[in-house]
This record gives sequence, structure tokens and C-alpha cells, in this order.
Amino acid sequence: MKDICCGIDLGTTNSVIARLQGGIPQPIDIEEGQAIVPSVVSFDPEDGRVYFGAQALNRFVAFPAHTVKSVKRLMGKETPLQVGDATYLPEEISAMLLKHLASEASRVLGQTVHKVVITVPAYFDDGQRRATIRAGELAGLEVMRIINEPTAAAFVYDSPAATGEVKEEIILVYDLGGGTFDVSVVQLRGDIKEVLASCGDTALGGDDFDERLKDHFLRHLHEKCGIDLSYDFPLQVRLKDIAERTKIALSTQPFVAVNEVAVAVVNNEPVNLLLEVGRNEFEEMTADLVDKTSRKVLEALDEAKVDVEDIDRIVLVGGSTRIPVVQDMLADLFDQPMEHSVDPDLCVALGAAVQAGIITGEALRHILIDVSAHSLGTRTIDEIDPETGEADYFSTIIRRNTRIPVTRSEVYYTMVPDQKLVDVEVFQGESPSCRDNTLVDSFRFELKPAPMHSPITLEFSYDLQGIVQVTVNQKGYANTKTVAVDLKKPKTAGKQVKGKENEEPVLGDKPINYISQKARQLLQETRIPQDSLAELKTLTCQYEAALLDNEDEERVDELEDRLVELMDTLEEDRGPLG
Amino acid sequence: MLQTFWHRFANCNPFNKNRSAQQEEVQSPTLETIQASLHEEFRGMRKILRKQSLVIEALRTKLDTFSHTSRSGGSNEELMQLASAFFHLGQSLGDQAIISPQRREAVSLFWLQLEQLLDQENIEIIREQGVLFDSRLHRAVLAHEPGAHKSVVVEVLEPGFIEHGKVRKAAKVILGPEKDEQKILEENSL
Repeated sequence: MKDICCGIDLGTTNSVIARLQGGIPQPIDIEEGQAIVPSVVSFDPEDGRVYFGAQALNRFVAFPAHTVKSVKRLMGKETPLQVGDATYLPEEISAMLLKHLASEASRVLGQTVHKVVITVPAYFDDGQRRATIRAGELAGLEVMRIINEPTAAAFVYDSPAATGEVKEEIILVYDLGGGTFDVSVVQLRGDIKEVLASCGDTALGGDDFDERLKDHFLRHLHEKCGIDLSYDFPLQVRLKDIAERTKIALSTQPFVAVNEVAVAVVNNEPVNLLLEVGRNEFEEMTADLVDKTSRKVLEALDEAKVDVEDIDRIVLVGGSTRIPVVQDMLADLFDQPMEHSVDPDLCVALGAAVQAGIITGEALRHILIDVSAHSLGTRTIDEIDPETGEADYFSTIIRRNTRIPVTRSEVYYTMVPDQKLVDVEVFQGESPSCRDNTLVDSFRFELKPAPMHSPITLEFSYDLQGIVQVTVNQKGYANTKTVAVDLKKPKTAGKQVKGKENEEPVLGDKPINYISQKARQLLQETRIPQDSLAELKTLTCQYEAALLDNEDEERVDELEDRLVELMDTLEEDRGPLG
Repeated sequence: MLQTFWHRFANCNPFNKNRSAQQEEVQSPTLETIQASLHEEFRGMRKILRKQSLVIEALRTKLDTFSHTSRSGGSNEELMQLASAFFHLGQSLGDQAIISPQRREAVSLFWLQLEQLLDQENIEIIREQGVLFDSRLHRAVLAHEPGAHKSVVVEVLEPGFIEHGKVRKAAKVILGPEKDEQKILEENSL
């Protein structure tokens, strides 16, 4: 079997193993088709069998004395753990987990996984790092490097080896997982990275958000049947599941209708859970949790001795960063792009795989993920343009850098009783003022007579072809309208005049394929003469536009030939990209 | 040697007997024409390679999107939710002191139809009580005798699902010692 090098995110709650495939990091689905493996080990005292991952977690309540969870918290400690009649050092348990991950990955891939890069929290001291290396060695693995989790997360978006650029930047990594929260300020300078500050809360995570919803449901049931059901254990288990599902749904829609059959039985009658939860309501319930993380962010900045303005990028890690209010809080704090297109549950492991690739000298490719190049939203009257006196608030619905395809919706309210219509204007851009953004399309939506402040939901469904299906719905009145908006062909109005033909060509926000990506890399080269660069830019723009506009194959082919030939000539003159 | 080399690229037949020696002399390639031809051939091959790379890139993007969509769940998720809802309804009816044989039969019939529908989608529901605890299929949320070697499922709080042979969700269960098994079977038969 061929030997490969993998990256491992050895987490407190879950672990993930990933590798480079064709220069792109990919998670390895090792357990029931899942890449995320619970960091749990369980021993069967009868037959000596050892269980890992989900199976071990499933056994935890049944065999608590023989099951070990969250061993990462104990790494570096010399106190052995009592597991049944046996004792193990924390690193020995971690070694078993690492061995399981590597051997299962080997089985799935048909290649031996022997060399690994393992991630550790930025706050791990030397002893904890050495314990992690020992765990790897005990597992029979060659630990090529130990890297900090926030650094790995930053690598997955922008590794210097993939971009060919050596730039200096300060990144804030916000990691809100299921049960823990960490925030780190990382300085990247080419291949050199330094964690300037790291802090967090080991008892704060997505589970706390679920808990708030669960309490809300319990209160609702109490009001409904007049009985406190908090003692009902089966109900608690069920409500926890419902709460998690509701939380996930609220990340994409402004309201969730909870219709759950027979959550409990009272006086021989089933009790159903029927209620609607609004995103606003959920945000109110969890405001203190988000505030807690916001305070930690400021604490980290203070510790790192950097200002809000010094942060170049924000990287989101952990499933709970999908909650819109978390992203809103960070957007309010920082005026910087947020990196959240890579699955936040996997990005640390993927970054470790990138690091493994850099060490072994594997060719890296920039991850081409289809993301929204700009934020998309609509105009609301929450702010007024002082010059024109017109409504001028840009309300974001889909944030920049969101992985597409994606569907997101927001709720807005009418201004007057029996409002006749609403102007739905789709804008793209990053400014809080519509005046500075681009109007993509607009249409009118006629309303049915309704009281003032009636809710209207606006849903954007953004596909890979750059088409956004805009659906507006007058809630409770069976009144809906859907309009397809092509972002490639914005309808210009007023000040937003499209570029004239003789103006300098402007490149789109992201490359279309590997050829245009290579052309863009060449455009960054300072050793190429200006006139050649101008020719390259024009040709790249034409080629990308032809592809985006689905021009006929002959035209695309001709432009592609010309572009490749020009790139070959320029590379010959200058030498290949390093 | 050169002629054979040339013929390969020019797609000529070197065994063509009708061609005169003079003709062969006229068509004999020069080093420049060979170089030009090789260059052209090389360009063509590079272009094919480039086109193949673009196709592979596009396929990979589609695959990524597909796997992303499958990870986030499709219509089967709704079917599983429906089965789960019916499971809870059935449980609540079963909890009632008196349930007529007709009602019990109606519930059984509905389960039969629902399980057939799930089967068509290659989904299996995990909802059985009285079976031995299997850590692949069951997540213990409460155990009457923690550490007991052989435990049985005495109550299913949340059903689990197996989709295409893989456990999508383990059933959340309460465990009891094996001796309770007979009691459960008796209760179920009531």
C-alpha cells in the first residue's frame, strides 16, 4: 500500500482525519460514512473489545466506568485514569483514538497512513504538546508536526504554498463548537505563524443554545397543560433533539413551525408541541451567550495588543458559527471579511492536511469553493440617506463568502395599515448604505390588506449559476411572488452605471477554473512588463466573461487558446511560478 | 528512421507501393517541418490534456456540491421525520390504559405501510424493544443497571434509522437488565 500523510484534528468532543487529494484537502469518511468521529473510547471488560467513536459514545451511559470521554482536557497530566480494573495515562487513551483514526483511514483509502500532522489548541503548553506527540508515537505514527488549531483553520483558506504569495496578516479565529469556545489572534507571515493571544470558555458552546430552546419548549408545555414536565426524563431527551433541529432551521429561515406529535402523555392524552419560534425570539433567549463570546473576542484583542482595525480576516470554526446572530455580532465588531465557506466542523482537520502537504512537498491547489462574492440583501427604511431623504439601509440576507448553493430568508414588516405594495430591491455589496452598493434588480409586490407591522418574508435562493430566486411572501395571506435575478446581468439604475467598453477591464471576484486562476496568479507577478500584464488582464476578463455568459464553444476555445499561449510565453520569459 | 517517424504523425502509409521514389523524395521532411509538426502535435496534446483537466475540475465541483447536498440531507430526511412522528403517536396511544384491538390493528397496518415505504428508499427504522443492546444501533440515555454485561432495550425514546446500510441516527434507548426482557414481551402482548 502507498504511504500518505494525513492531518488530524484531535478534538475534545470530536475528531476528524483528512488528507490532500489532488492538492485539495478532503475529510475521510471513516465511520458509517461520517468524517466526524466522537473522541470517545469504551472498553468491554468481558471480551476485551475496544469501541471508538459513535459506538463508544452510545455505550457511555451503559458502561460509564469503562468509557472515556473528553480525554483531551487531561492531556499532559501524569495522573492515570481508572477505567474498570485497568489504568491508563491520558496520552495512552489519545493514542488509541489516533490509531483508530489512522487505521480506519488506511482501510478506507487502501493506503497506509503512517505520517500525520496533529492539531492542538493554541493554549496547550509544552507538556501538553509533548504528550500529544507521545500519543502519536504510541499509536505507531510518525508525528511530522504539531500545529495550533487556529493556525490550521487559517491555512485552509489561504496557505502560502497554494497561493504563491507571502503576505503578512493578522487573523482572528473564532471557534464556537458544541461544548467549548475559543478565540485566537494569529499572525501569519508566509509560512511562519504565531499565536498572539488565545482565550475562551470551556463550558460554552452550541449545546447551551439548544438548552435555551429546550427551556422555552418546557415553559410552553407548562402553560399549555398546567403541569411542570421538567421531571419527565423521556421528554427531556426528545426536547433536546427538537431544540437542536429548530436551532439549525433558524439559521436559514426567520421562523420555524415546531409541530411535534405526542411529546408527552398527560392524563392518558397525548400532548403535542405546536408553536412557532422566530429567529428574533431565539436571539433574545441567547443574547447573553453571544455577548459572552464577544467579550472574549475583545479580551483576546487586548491580550494580543492589537486593535479591531488590525485584524485582516476572521475565520469561523465550529458548527455553532452557522448561527446568524454570531456572524452579525462579528460583522458589527469588525469591518473585515469573514471566512466561513469551508465546513466549520471540518476546517481544522483540512488545514492540518494542508500543513501535511506542505511538509511532504505535495502540490497544493487553492480551494475553489463556490461562494457568494458579495453580500446580498435588500433596501429597508431603517436608515435614511441624509442627502436624498430616501430609505437607505442595506439589510443583508446572504453574507459575502457564503458557500453556494444556499437559501436564506429574513423577515420585514409593513410600515402602514393596509399597505398596498412593497418595492423589493435586491442589492449586492458590503456597505451598510444601499447608495454605495449595486442594485441588481427590483420589482413590486402587491400586498393584501393587513394591519401595520405585518410580517413579510424575503427569501434568497442562490444557485451555482449565479441566479438568485427571490421569493417574497406575505405571511398568513397566501400571497407569494418569486422572481429570478441573474447576478451576472445586474439591472443598472441611477448612479450604478455599468462600465463602458473602453474602460479598463475589471476582473470578477473569483477565478472560474484553474486556467483563470493561473492567469490571476501571473497578474500578481511584478517581473512581467506592464503592457504584457494589461494584455493578460484583458484576455483573462474576456475568457472569464465568455465562460460566465455561456458564449459558444468556439469563442471560448479561441480565447482559451490565446490565454494559454500568452501565459506560456510570459512564463518562459520569467520562469515558472514558485 | 526519420521517414517512419514522420509517417506516424502524417498518418501516411509507408507500405504504399504506388508511390514513386521521386514522390517520396519530394515529400521527404526537413528537420524544420518535423519540428513544426512535433510542435503542432504537442500543442494538440496539451490542449486535449487541458480540456480533460477542465472536465475533471467541473465534475469534481459537481461531486462536491452533490456530496454537500447529501450531507445536508434530502427528501429522505423528511420521510424519517414522518416515521419518527408516527412512532411517537403510536407510543402515546400504547401508553393509554385501554386501547381497542381495532385501534391496535390500525396502528400495525399503518406501520406495515410505512415500513414498506421506508424499505423502498432503503431505510430501516430502529424501534424494537426487548432486543439486546447493540452499541451500533442504540444510544443508551438511561441504564437501570449501568455496567450490566447484557442489557436489553426496555424503552425506545427516539427511533433510529439505517440508510443504505449505514446508521444515520442511533435510537435513543433506556436499558434494563436482561431479566426484564420477559416482562417487556408480556407487556407488549397485552
